[in-house]
Amino acid sequence: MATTKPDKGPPTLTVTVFAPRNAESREFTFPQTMRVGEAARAAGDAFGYAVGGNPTFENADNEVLDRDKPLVAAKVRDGDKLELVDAGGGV
Amino acid sequence: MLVPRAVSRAALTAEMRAARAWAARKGWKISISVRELRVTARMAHPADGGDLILRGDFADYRLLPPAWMFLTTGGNARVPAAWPSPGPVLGGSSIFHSVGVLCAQFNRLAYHDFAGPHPAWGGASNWLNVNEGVRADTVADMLMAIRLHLQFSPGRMG
Repeated sequence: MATTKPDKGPPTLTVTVFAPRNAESREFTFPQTMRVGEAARAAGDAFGYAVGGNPTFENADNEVLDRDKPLVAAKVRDGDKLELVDAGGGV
Repeated sequence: MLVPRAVSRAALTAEMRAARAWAARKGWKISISVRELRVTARMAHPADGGDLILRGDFADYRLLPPAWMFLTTGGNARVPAAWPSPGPVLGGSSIFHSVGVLCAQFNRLAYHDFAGPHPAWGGASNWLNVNEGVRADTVADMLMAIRLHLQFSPGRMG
């Protein structure tokens, strides 16, 4: 009888996220192909940020990640520490 | 005064721990005076390495957003060299608008009722409902937004 491997789902990465409004960080696991903006929005929701804004992440090198890129394309790696930031401009 | 100072002090106190944790992560020196309802941050300008002093006045917080300004060491906010100049930020514009005006939803002095340039935001007491440009509604989030725009500042206003 043929056997099939159980579907493990898409590859994921686990990161530590800091949010300005919280003194404590949290860990999140996201699909590697999830867009930065979607992941940042999900993290923002968990930290209690209001709907709206332009959430993204800043990495340990102070680079603000492109919200439209998949996490893996933005060079996010498993174990990274990311800061939640709002990428909105002035008005 | 619109809000009892005790109420504003309690609101500021509730946000102090997160603001200090953020400042420690980012290397900014901040002092928070709950009694005076004042937050002062000191940081180096990324472009020239020189000191910047940022002050937020939190009277009537959180009915109104704080009033943010950059100052000289002598406390003068009208000196252009105290203010970072605007640079393009991630394809958008900077919150560093002109001397004396930091144009963001979380700055009281951006609103028309406080002599700022934004009549369409519904007055400073509507600040938590404004969703245009960068958005921040806690002390640490405001500092984060200012720091992000400072990273793209090419210099000073004068």
